[in-house]
Amino acid sequence: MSLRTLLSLAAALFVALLAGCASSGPPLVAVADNKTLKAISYDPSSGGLLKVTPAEVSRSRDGGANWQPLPLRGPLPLSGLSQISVSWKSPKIIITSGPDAGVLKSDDGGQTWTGINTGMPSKQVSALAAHTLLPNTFFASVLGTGQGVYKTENGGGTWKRMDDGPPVSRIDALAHSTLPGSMNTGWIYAASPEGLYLSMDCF
Amino acid sequence: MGRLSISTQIKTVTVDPERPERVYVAGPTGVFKSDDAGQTWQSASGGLEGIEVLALSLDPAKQDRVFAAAADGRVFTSDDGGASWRPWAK
Repeated sequence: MSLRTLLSLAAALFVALLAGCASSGPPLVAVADNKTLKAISYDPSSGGLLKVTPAEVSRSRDGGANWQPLPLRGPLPLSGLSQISVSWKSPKIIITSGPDAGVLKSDDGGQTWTGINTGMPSKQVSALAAHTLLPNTFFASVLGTGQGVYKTENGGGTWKRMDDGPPVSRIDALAHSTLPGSMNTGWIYAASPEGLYLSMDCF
Repeated sequence: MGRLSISTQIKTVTVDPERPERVYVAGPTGVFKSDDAGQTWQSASGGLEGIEVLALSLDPAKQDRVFAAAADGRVFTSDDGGASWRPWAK
């Protein structure tokens, strides 16, 4: 038997073993993406960080060694949470959101949560931001029907559509800025797959 | 909305509340910082090479302190405005 034949047989045996190993293992199934980190926010109340995965909001005070889940009640939608923001001026106010989840708000540092979606066309919220100075003003990007950037000035009591938003496939993050020169109270950055956009927060 | 001079994919953006001209963004190509409200950008990925950052946040009480989170859950912090990063630990 030639060396080439031996090598071919060895290669075939190796492939067969691999196939056997694969077929004897557990079946491959789709696993819900519940653990991937989606967003963080510094938490001035604790000096730690808040973290969002699709399944929960959690807080670490010890450099990330331990994360304590916050008590969000009820099952979250399949696509879960993806955003979080803490009010700079009132750090007990925390807002979180996600596609299908809408916007949830806590006024007590994450102990209790309320859905704040009145005036939204749907709960397809892709991005969220708290105003830098005004603790009752938030901005949200909504996808699908009624797509655009929405704003509430009464702590989420009602949302109003402000603008179409930038000409992009979707907005993945929003951030408010008090940069001078705005005709209203500041500016809004919008992050997207196509780049970064800036607009006055009066739209 | 006006497009700024960064057209790569951006996953997250955060603004320094005390110095609003300072903006940080991150995406598949790294972390970037602007000190002129997005007109010009410089890399802020020192020590994060090969790590995809999905989220950023700032400590408003500590100038130049930034947090960066990777998709796998690791969190890094910088005390020099993104010039260098280390794993977040107290």
